[in-house]
Amino acid sequence: MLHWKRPLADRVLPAASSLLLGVSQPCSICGQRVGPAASSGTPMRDPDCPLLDPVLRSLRQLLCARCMAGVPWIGEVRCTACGRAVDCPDCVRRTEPKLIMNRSAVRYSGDMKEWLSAYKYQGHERMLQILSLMLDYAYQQLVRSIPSGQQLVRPLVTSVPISDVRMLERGFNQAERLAESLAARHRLPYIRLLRRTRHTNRQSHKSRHERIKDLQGAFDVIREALPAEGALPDAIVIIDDVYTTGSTLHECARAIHAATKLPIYSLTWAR
Amino acid sequence: MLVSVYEVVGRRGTERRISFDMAIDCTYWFGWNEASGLSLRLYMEPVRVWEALEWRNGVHRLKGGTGSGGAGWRTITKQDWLSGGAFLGALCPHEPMASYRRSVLDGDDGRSRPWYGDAARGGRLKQPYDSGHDKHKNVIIGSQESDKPAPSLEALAGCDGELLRELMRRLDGRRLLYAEYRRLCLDVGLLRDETDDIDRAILQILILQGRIDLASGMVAERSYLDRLKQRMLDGRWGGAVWPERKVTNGNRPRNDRRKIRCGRCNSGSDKHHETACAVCGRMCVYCEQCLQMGRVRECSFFIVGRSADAILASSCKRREHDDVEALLGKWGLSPAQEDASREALAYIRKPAKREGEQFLIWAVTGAGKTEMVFPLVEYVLRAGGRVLLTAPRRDVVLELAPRLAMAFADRKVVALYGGSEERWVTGEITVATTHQLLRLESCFDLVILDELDAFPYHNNPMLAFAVRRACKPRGKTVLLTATPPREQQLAMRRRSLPHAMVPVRYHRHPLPVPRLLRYRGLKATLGSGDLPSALRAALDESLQRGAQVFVFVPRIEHVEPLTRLLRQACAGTVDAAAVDGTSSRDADRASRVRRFRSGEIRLLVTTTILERGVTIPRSDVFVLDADADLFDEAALVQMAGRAGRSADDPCGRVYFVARERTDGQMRAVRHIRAMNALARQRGLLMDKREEDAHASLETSAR
Repeated sequence: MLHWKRPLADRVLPAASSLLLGVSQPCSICGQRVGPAASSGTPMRDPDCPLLDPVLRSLRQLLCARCMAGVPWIGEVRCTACGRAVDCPDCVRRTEPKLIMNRSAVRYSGDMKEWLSAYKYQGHERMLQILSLMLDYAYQQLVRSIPSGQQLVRPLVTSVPISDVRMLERGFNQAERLAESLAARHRLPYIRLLRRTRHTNRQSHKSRHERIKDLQGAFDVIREALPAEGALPDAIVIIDDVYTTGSTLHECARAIHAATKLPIYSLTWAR
Repeated sequence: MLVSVYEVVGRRGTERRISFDMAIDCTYWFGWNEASGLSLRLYMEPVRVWEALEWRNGVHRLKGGTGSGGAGWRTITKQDWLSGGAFLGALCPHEPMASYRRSVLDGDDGRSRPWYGDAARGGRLKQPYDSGHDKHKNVIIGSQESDKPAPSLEALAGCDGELLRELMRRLDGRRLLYAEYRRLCLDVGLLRDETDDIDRAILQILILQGRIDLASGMVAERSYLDRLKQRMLDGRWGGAVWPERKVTNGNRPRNDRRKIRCGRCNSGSDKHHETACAVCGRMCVYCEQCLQMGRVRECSFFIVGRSADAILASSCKRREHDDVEALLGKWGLSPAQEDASREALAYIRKPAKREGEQFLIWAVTGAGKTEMVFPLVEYVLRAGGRVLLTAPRRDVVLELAPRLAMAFADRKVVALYGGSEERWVTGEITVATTHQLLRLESCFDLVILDELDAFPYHNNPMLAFAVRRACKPRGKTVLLTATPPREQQLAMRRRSLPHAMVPVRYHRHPLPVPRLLRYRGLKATLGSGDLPSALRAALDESLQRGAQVFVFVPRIEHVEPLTRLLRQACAGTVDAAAVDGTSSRDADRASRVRRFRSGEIRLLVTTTILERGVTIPRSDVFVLDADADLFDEAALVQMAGRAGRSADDPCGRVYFVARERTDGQMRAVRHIRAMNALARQRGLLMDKREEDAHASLETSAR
């Protein structure tokens, strides 16, 4: 007769304590408690950038101070083409790039690798909230860095596709999820514009040259998905999780450019 | 993943079945079983596994005749099967058939898989071998032997028979996701490479043999009434129509999103997250609690290896290994250890009355718990059972495994932990972290759980569940601890938990009783940069007598500054390199502990991570800020238990250094005193005369 009390107490007590003490949910990365006690005391202004402040404010609700401090934000962009924080030999070598500009939120450090693999390979999909918040920072940067002549008014958002094999294995396309949440946040149209023509093996173990060769012609524009001639947007933004050598994104850009002739930008979560 | 579903229609009723490879099923039903009056109704569209499981459990209805082919159901008879190739062609829209067709019809697989339709014409093939449990009693009618040569299972799947049997052995008592099953197949050597798809045929053989069951990824919490209602709605009330299978692993009904549990870790909806899933094409829940072991989704499924019933369950026949004294004698146990072992053995030998019986051995720190369970392990092994030793922490597992391997040299000992090489190996003795048990089910006859009050096991329902499930339903569980949690203490007092006490260490000296020292608190001490003189004197004394010194602090942040301070303060006694600190955030933790063991480091500042499992022969213990909330009775008793563990130095020193006396400290001191008193009362302590004799013996030996 007594045991109904227990689940009730279990349900009420945490709620009550969070109301009274301001304790919020645990950190999505490490499970430590996120609370005013944990986050105060550490100065949290990484790169001195006003664009980052709103992102940090929202992130602080989700991450503990230690995980927050470990995020290597890209504050100052050195390579204006690919958005890298260091000088970049790849972009100099590239001829006739169809991808005008890439911006990324963070450097792809060891910690960030772990985050991404937790999200992508382990399937910790709750992390989408965090990653998409961070991607928002990259979007702000992109908007700011486009010269005033070519405004980014209503770009079309799309994402790098994954093959059916991967899709069935993973259950979701990480880039698509990021793109959808970005599009929803800024009320932009999202369209699945690309598909893979063939299944390529994982890119992460290959050299730059191998990647470029392997990916040639791997993407294809879905013609039916393209908006009608008159309703074309002024630009296209491709979303991916990581920009490593850029060969995937450049290949996607080439395919889209051939079909639409629109200016193409890209955003990735990490660089 | 797509599968075929069909109904076996026999004279006595129908049974719903799932197939990963229809060719195997056809051969099984028409080739090996009596075929007269038996037919299969095949659903002519491939179905996703979750749908198939829901359909089998009566929660999901398959569309009658709609879909791409519009084919609906089709009845297959033995005649169809005997006709061979043409029939195969008709089945080919099914994905499971594709690989078969490739190998049989086109022969491009490099692996020949015969079509037994031809061989079986006019007769019945022999059952390959007895699978032990015939699950198909309700549909199979009669049987007759034939002198036709029986096709072997391995030929049917196109794989090596020896390897197949090895796979069966290793699947016993495991609960695996499909990806894990594939890795196991690879490890056994049944798959040639990552892309080989023969595992489906093998899986189907195992299912038909009754060696494995399929279970859905998420389990519905359905009440008895719900199940009853469902049965009546489905018109399967009573009679032979109702299959013997219980509907315990049925997926939840579509409209109920709340009451669902993870099929692996049993966590409820507060640990679940719902997302759109490309695999099942709907909103699908995954479990965050056990995510690190591979994701469990609502649409994923488990392959559960069935194992034999617990050997301890049956009322024991008198066996030759029943000689208890012989079992106890060979391990060189002290009288106190032997008493506890004897009691535990008696508990094990008694057939279990109900599921989940437990026995607790409450042995003080340094009592030699591991040795006490050796006789139990041997008893079960001799009876032909499997034994599990499990502990929540990896370091404990790493320490236990070689000790067991040494004690049971002729038995196969397997160590399972995160990143272990032996993940897919099956042994007679398994030493595992509690987390690894999530991949096992009804696997062991005897489960020995060490350190049940340690993090992360204590207060973790997931791990408790894992331990419970790893044990066979009528298997036995023995708990080992020096500081039983409240729950167990109460159960012992209520006499609902049988137990044995070992109040004395193996060397029969009393436990060192902690001395209480007062100081200003760690924060103030670190702030002033000056060690209180009483503490400094005690530390110096310990170091000078040649002891290794543990210094426990409650917070990780204090480790480093305190290490620096102690380096300065003890500069007169030991040099700076011999004073070091470690914590859970330290990457070199293992090497530091090793150097501490070897004596290279003389004084180690640490947090509770070293409170148990580490045995240093000559050591003293200082607990700073013993009044901290984190240090409760159990933690203090464990830390105090690091001192005086060897027979050479049985009287190590223990200091609780604190600003004030707290309940925890007083309870810990009382606990230790009570244990010593109990030992004295039972006459387990070495008395003065004996001690002197012992000492003189030792000096003369030197």
